[in-house]
Amino acid sequence: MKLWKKIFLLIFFIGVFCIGINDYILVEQQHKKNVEQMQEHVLSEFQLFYENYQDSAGAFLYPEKVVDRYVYGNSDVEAALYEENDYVYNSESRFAADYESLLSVEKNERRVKIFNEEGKYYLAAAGVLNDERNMILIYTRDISQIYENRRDHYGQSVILLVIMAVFLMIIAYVFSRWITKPIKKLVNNISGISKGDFNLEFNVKESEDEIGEVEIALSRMQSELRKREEDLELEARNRQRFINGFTHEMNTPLTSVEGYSQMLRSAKLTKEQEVNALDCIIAETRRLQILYEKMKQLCLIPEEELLIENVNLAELCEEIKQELKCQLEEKQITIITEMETKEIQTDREFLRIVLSNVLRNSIIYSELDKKIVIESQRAESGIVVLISDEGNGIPQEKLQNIMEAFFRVDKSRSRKTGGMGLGLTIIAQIMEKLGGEISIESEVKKGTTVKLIFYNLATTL
Amino acid sequence: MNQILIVEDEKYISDLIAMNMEMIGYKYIQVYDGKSAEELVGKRTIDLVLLDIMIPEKSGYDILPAFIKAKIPVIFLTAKNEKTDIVKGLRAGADDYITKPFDQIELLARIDAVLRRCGKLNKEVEIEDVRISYDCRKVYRQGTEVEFTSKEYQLLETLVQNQNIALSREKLLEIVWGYDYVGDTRTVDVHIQRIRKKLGWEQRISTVYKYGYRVEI
Repeated sequence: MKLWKKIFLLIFFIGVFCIGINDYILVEQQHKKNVEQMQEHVLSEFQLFYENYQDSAGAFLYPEKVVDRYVYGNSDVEAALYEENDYVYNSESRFAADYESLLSVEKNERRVKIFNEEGKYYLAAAGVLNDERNMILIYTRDISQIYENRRDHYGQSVILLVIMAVFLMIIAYVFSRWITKPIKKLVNNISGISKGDFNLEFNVKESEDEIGEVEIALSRMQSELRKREEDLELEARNRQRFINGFTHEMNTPLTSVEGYSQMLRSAKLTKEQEVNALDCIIAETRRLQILYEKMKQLCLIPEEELLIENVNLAELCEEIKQELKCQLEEKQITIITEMETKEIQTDREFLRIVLSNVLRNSIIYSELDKKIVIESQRAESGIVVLISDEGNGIPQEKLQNIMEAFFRVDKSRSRKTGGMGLGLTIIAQIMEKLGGEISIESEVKKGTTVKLIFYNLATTL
Repeated sequence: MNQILIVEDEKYISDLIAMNMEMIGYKYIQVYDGKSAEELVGKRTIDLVLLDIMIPEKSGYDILPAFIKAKIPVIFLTAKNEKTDIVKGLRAGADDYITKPFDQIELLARIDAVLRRCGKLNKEVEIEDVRISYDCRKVYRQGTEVEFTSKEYQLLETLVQNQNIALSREKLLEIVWGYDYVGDTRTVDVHIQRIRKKLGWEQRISTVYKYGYRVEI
């Protein structure tokens, strides 16, 4: 059963019940009071009668006459005289059986009994009239009126109860609906969330009750779920990008190798064509090897052991300059070093890979006759190495993705404009392993600055 | 003579395709980016475009409408995992696609299929004194019809359409006799002999050592 119905029925029945109980108690109390009052009344009448009897001269001899005189004409009352437990006289004899228990009344005692005969109620008071003759007077009054009053009261209260019940129904209904309305809204939102719709609106009313709390919690949960969904989507997209990049890098050389091999096997080629075909196969196989090496690096770098030593930065840069001599000369690029700090504590080989890769990139992306500047400074947190070039730069929108595996700024992945997209990924991984950080700033057509921070080893280990 | 436009930025692959075209006897133009490809529409005769999707300047999709408008059939070159790209390309109006790495013979077969659909395929071919009519499936030598059985003709057609390219015995068996054929490759040898005799092509149909046969034109 729905909640609002439960609340409605509860309010209604409790209300009706309470009103009912209330009425019952009131009526019964009133009745009891009435009975008590009547009892007092009857007793005082009895007393009157008793004293009358005592005072009356002929009473001793003819008590019947006194009784008679007293009750004559009064149909509401009746009197009975008993002598020696035998019935002697009364004006109407009907209640003999009921009087039995009253006959044992003692001297100076007043005993009272309420009984009903044939639908009417009577209050009887008994007392000893004449002790010597053992005469007992029982004075009875018809008190049916009280009981009728009670019945009337009950009748009225039932009518009133019915009217109140109708009001109660309306009020209970309105209240139960009002109270459960926010719950209904909550239920809608929750089932929306359960179906995967995280964008439903929540009016978080400022209600401080439990429902308000649930709303707040739900709203929080909803935004959490939304965020998680977005994160998963982002992850999926990144993974897809990785796969696309990887397969492309794999695919292209394979296509060439397969194609040219087939060609050599099946076609009649001129010597020149043969030589070209074999050159291509050699070159593309080499490319596959490079891909393999880089992927291996990427996977194994985290596992490798570091050999930390004092590395002379200037010396290392000279070595790298020699290594890249051909490429530098080809494009007439000069490398300028400004080393404030000459030594770094780190793994020499890894540092070499990092610097070498950054410089290679700078050379590839710079035009002829440009400069590359390598600076080193000491900062509070560690040593900072900056490599700035005057190359093509990287567009702002692509900067955040630049270190993802296989990411290329050139969407067509043209070999003319760059490599496989793994260089920076590897560098970033190495920097993390060395306890450092890499960040890149760039402006299109102006140049790029790669900032390598090597945190003080004591703090990072 | 059909002229094929090759739009592929990887030089090795572009050259590979070009070599294939040369062997078949198609003319070709090589371009290495989208912009150059688009600019050729209307300026040169193009009978079919082999279009790579990932090219610089403008992507394959971007220039596709230009070719469709000029009623030039397009075959996309895609990498295997780009399933959505394939669907996208076909829906955008491309006539066919082929995934890299591709089989030489498959590429040629697809090109021929597309050209045939556009009615651009040669209805017949003449090689010295031999004329083969693809339409009527008849072979003429010095003007006179030469009787060919169905299988012989198919074998001849396959070799000629893949001219200058060696086809293995297994491949020939597959293409001409089908996958279900329970027989061995000697059937191919026998038929080759017969064709050679009928056309006097003992030299022209050369045996490729340990491989198969090739028609040299």
